[in-house]
Amino acid sequence: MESPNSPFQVQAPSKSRLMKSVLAALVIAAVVLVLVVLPAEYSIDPTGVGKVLGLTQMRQGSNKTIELKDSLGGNEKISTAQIPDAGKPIPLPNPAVFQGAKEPAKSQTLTITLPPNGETEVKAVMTTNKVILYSWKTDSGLVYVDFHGHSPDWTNKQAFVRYLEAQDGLAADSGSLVAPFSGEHGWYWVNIEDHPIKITLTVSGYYDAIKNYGAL
Amino acid sequence: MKSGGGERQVMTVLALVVTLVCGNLAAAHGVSGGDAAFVAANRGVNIVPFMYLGAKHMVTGYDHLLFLAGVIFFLYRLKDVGLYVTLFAIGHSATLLLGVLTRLHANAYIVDAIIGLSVVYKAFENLGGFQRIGWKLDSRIAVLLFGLAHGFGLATKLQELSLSPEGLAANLVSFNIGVELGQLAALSIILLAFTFWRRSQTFLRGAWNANVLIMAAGFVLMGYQLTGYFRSL
Repeated sequence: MESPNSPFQVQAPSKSRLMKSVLAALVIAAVVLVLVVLPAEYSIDPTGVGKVLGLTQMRQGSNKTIELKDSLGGNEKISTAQIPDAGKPIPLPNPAVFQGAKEPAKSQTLTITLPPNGETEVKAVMTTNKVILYSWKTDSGLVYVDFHGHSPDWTNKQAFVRYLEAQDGLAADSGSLVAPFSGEHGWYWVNIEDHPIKITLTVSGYYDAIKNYGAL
Repeated sequence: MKSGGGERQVMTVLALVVTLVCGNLAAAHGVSGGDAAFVAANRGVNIVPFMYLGAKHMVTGYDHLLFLAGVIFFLYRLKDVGLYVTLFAIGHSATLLLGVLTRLHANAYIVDAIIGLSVVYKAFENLGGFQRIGWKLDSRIAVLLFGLAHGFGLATKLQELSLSPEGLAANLVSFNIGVELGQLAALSIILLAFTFWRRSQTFLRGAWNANVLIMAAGFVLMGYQLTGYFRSL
């Protein structure tokens, strides 16, 4: 059994003293919260004291805001952001909009030759919110393409997202992707011509690796 | 002699108030701006920087410090200080490592409100409140449990940044070692201040008031975080 450490535990305080003290703590906390912390942190200022003390302006900066419609990734409830004062950047509500990196983006070009009816997959392994730019074309004719992403353990089929599908085939395509989740994001191609097709793909950006599954 | 004691008492109270009001409330328990960018951009094992971040987190995390101040308030023997701090560290480490590695998510506001509650709890315990109302939970178990909450708070914050899986485990362990080092540094200073203060004759009276203030600070933290939570809904 532990021994009591506090002298107030050895001799318990009277009920009224304890009650008064807890009440005092609550009152102090309420006063500090309402007059100082809430105005400064959230610009919630029911008494107006925060404004007098100049606390409410701490979170305001410039009063100009911009609407961020469908910000990248679309996973944020906030749709407006304050325009920061010069020299005072504030983080955008969606971290995917700007991301610094320690290293320059990678870039890779690869070619795959598909026989008639041949199929293959090339995937960029990416973490959430990372960006790639891509561009591919065939040397002759059309390929069926399915541009999609899934988590590494996608057998549970819970994270499979299709970005683009061209059932009639495409000869070339370009675009960008912000990874909506960590996993493999890339292309499934089928040669729908009756002659071999060479596909040349260039991917640039902040991917971790490119997986070329070869002819399937 | 007496006035000296009173002065120290005032200083302690002032220190508490200054920590609360002027401390960078926004950066309190999270990882602040530039550091967040570093963590997000980092690839691979980076032992010393992560250790530094852990230590910085602990030394500048007033919610942890308030709780620890409450924990060691009446611990006179170094052996007891060691025991309680170890229990807290075990709790803190377990949830920090497990939380991030198993990707357990929780609402940061709620976890931080629970940390505020831990401060209130500890102050109430120091005031002999549980003796009065006849409720008994071994304070060692309470420290361990709240240690779990504190670690989980940080795990949640760290996961909001996109941590690279490269070298994650090693970086987390480094971070955690940094947390313990920072805790040791902060505790030494708090302990030193308490040792001086306890020599003064006004300690007992001041101790009561200080714990009431710690409790008030805990309520402020709870109110701050719960307001944030309801605003985020």
